[in-house]
Amino acid sequence: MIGVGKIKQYSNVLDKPLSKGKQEVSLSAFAFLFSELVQYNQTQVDNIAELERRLEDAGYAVGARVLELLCHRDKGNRRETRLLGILSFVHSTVWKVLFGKVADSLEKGTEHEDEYMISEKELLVNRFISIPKDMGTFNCGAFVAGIVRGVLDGAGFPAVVTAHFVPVEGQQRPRTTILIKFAEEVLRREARLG
Amino acid sequence: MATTACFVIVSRNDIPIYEAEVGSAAKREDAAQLHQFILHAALDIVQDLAWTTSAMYLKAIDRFNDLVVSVYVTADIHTRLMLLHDSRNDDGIKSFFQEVHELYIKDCPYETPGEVDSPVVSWVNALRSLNKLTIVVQVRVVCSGGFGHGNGRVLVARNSIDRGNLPGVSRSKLSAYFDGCDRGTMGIPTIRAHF
Repeated sequence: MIGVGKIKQYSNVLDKPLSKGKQEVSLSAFAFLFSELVQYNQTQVDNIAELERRLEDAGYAVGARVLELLCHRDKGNRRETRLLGILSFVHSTVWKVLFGKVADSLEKGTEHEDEYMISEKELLVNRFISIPKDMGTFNCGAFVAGIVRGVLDGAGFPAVVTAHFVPVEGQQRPRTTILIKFAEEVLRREARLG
Repeated sequence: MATTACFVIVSRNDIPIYEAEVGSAAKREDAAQLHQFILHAALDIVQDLAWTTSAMYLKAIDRFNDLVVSVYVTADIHTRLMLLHDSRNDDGIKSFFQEVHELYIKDCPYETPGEVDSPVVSWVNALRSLNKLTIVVQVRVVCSGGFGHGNGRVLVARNSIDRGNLPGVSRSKLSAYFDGCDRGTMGIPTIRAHF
């Protein structure tokens, strides 16, 4: 929560230590900021696909930084070079830092070898968002998809990442699935590394 | 003792984003080009080695006479911190890299996804202003020819020419140059081409 526990202020970002420390931001403040992000981008685009792309780009920058930071802070300067390693890094380490919990599930796609899915019953960014009917399949999870893509791309696993709503039986709200489709080269390299 | 040291941060697509000559030795006239050349030749080795270990510090991976190349690959596999040096101090170099890495994390340069200039073109553009065009193309090309898997870079160079991104450079000239390099030994410039 903002204001709980004094955070020392540094005038220069380079003086600030990288070590851990619980620095949580209030959810309402984040939700407000995020809604502004969505609304601003909405004024800049003509269609839904464009809006999702812009949110994704915003997330990408977050992902690229999160990867650098967490590998240093939580993994003691080890890189991820394997596919499953980086996926579980996203699913647990990244999710925990960004959303305070590990993701609900990480599954491999049944139809395609190169597809993986991270599912979340109630994605943090979607918690206070309801999509108007006329916006069809738009999903603000595109921002999170961008974060995932930023992490994967940075680590050398280029992928197409998209966010989808999946209806759940007996639940009013659909869950969000982040679909990761890796580039061909990634699978080829995985096979080579054995 | 006078030491030579050259530190470079190479970013995505082999684009150098920081470069510093930090040695105390009197500067040789060709130092800048020679150092770039050696560091660039080491990039292919880094590319292969980076996937075989999860450590960030790859130690000394290449040498040229008495100059050694030490490399540190950050979590973002595209970012490589490279130090060319002639003194032996493994621990010192490692902690130097770690310090730079921490600073790098704090001041992560913003990277936008999507198309970036092809490596050859951006190197040429970045260094054209310094009047080092000849050398730069030479460095690129020699590296491409020297290692088997560098052929992708040759293609990039050829494509750049076809697209007209390298004004004044003709494809036939460059191809001849590549062919000469294929016969050359690793990392040693065999033919000098002036464009």
